[in-house]
Amino acid sequence: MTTETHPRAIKVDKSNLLDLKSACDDALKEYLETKGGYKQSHKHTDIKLVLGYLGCAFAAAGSYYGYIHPFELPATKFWTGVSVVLYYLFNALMMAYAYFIENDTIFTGYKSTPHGTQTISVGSSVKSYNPYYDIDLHMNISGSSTSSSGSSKTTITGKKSTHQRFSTAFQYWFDEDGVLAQEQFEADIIKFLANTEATHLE
Amino acid sequence: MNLRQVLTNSLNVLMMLFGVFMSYKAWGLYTNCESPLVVVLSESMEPAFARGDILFLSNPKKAVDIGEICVFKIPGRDIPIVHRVIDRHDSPETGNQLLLTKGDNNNVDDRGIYQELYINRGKMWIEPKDVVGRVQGFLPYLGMFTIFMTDYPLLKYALLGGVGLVVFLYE
Repeated sequence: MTTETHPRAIKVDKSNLLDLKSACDDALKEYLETKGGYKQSHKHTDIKLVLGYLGCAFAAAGSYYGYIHPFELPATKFWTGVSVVLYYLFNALMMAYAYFIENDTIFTGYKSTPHGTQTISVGSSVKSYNPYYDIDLHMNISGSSTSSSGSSKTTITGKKSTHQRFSTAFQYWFDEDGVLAQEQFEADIIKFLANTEATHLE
Repeated sequence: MNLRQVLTNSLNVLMMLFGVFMSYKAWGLYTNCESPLVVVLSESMEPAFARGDILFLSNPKKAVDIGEICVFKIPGRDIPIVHRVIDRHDSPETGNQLLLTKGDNNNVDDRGIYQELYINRGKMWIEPKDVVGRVQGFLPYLGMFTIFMTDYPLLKYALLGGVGLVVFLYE
């Protein structure tokens, strides 16, 4: 393995669990995007943005309608009511999406492999007063990709997916001064990824 | 900051503004009153209301009664007035009302105010359509802040800009 000197050492307050978590999150994302070969997919952010801006668009439209029409008319009240309901509905949808679907996801990405397009979704979490970094790895090989060899074209049908959880104490990755040992960290991440991929092929 | 970050932060600012605005709209629909919160600007209703009091308004279905305090607009005048109803005449056929108002702290009723503008000459009463809200409750002095901001508009923009900037730059 090539020893690469990292231009900036990541140093955090090691008594702050959230600092430790976000340092690991950043390092993990950076690893997946650079050395991991994954291209980041922003679907969670995009879906939330679309829901949020749609809600705001309804709110703006309703407010404009109320601005140009007198309040006393039943139609004004009706459309104002509709815009209020739609605004809060889309707000709620956005929050529900963030809470139930995005949850603790810190990275989603994809890369092409001989088996098809491989997608990855990484969640991370910490629990209060518990110095462990929990990683949730979801991997997916989607069967939509086709590989053609010679004249025959084979399409992998079905979706293979796998899910693994890993928990590591921060003490293995941070030294006394709160500096992240990147080599150590990345070695563990490589192990986790390989481990998850291995279950994939079964 | 990339485009998504900018869009996300802008959305946060927008949702903060629309969140307040839309709940005000919802409150307005609930109370059947376009602006359910107003701030008293004059001393004509002393000692009931002082300058800077916040009034909670609504428009119930039932007819306006004597003794109720109404916020009304006189055609051609922008600033609404909050005064007490001292006389009512109900039409038996249409149910429409003719109302006379007076400020508790004024010596005379409001007919002089009704007729101040030439277009309103001969206006002896106000009607329910002039009434924008009926007072249901009040909070003393909290509106002073609003009066202050209206007097010094720069303060308003500074406050809005400051809050917006904090939300925008917050990640």
